[in-house]
Amino acid sequence: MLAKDLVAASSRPLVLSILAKGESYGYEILQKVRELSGGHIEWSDGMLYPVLHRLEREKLIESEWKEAESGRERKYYFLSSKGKKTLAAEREQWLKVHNTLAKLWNIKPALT
Amino acid sequence: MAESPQHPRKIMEHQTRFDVNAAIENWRNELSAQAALSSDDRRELETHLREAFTELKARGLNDEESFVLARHRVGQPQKLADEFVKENPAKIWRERIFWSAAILLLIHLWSNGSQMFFAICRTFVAPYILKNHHFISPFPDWVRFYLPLPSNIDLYNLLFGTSSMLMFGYLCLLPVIGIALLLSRGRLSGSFSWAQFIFRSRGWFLFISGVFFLLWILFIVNSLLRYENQQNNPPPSAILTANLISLLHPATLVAVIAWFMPTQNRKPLEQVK
Repeated sequence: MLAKDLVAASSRPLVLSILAKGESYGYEILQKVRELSGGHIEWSDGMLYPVLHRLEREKLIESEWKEAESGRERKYYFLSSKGKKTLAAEREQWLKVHNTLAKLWNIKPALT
Repeated sequence: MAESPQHPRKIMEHQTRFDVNAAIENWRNELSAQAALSSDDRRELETHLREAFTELKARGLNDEESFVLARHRVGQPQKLADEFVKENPAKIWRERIFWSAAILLLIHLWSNGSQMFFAICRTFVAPYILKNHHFISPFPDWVRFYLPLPSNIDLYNLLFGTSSMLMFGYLCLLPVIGIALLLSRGRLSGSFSWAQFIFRSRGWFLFISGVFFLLWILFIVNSLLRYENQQNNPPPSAILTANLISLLHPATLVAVIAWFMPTQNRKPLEQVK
């Protein structure tokens, strides 16, 4: 399991990155995070929504209630143009951290 | 042939059968008690709970297990509310301002409506009381001679006289008495289904308010057309201006309500089959 602070810090780029691949809703975002991290990043379900709402307030994402094929209504979130720019900037920063740590730990930095 | 009795275990299973819809309803009530969660937040959390419930059911868990686990995953209502407030402390005030404005508008409308009702009573009901002795004085004259019973005029002054605010006071109290009665009978939420109709959407609320204000203005214009401009009376233009200014207060409240109206999904909540 990851440290709490790291989980909190990574929530923002993770959500933005998932939404960069297409619109999604809370439950699906959580599932994707669990799946992609191999279960290492475990978010508490209800705590995701304050994060989503904060991103929405910052106008990085937008939301809309829509009816799914199953007939169930869901609140879908999607990335705004401001969110795309922010994600690009965050990506740069995270890569810098990743590459620095990779050098320190003698791991070949695979990402650019 | 007599029916064979049911197996005791089956009877017990039937009696303790888990009602998932009732459980969701209880959970929804717990969420509603958290002022920090807006109706939209609650709706979203409930959607999440149902998604988790469906997934767990598909994995082979029964209704009760699925619900308990899904509920645990979403989190305790109090903790959820704390997280939502932490994220946006101002959010809690949005719904409060909305309901405050709605209550102020209701009080304003009731106050004006009751004044109108009081005036109608004074015009149509009071003359009836003055005319009908039996209505007020069921006692013979000799009883009235010895006992200090109120006369028709006394009663008229008590109920409708300009100095008496008894009737008007009771009229103003009627909504409070009505709400208290509904609360005591547990019918308060059901009795306010009309509020859902009015607040169906922002556009709809503005449309209804617009029609109401238009009717109000027509009423003012109609009254002015019948107005007799005597020497001591103020001119019609002054009355028109005063009436239009009096519309500013409710119009402002309508604007505030529309602005702070919670955007939410109005579709009826689904039932788990």
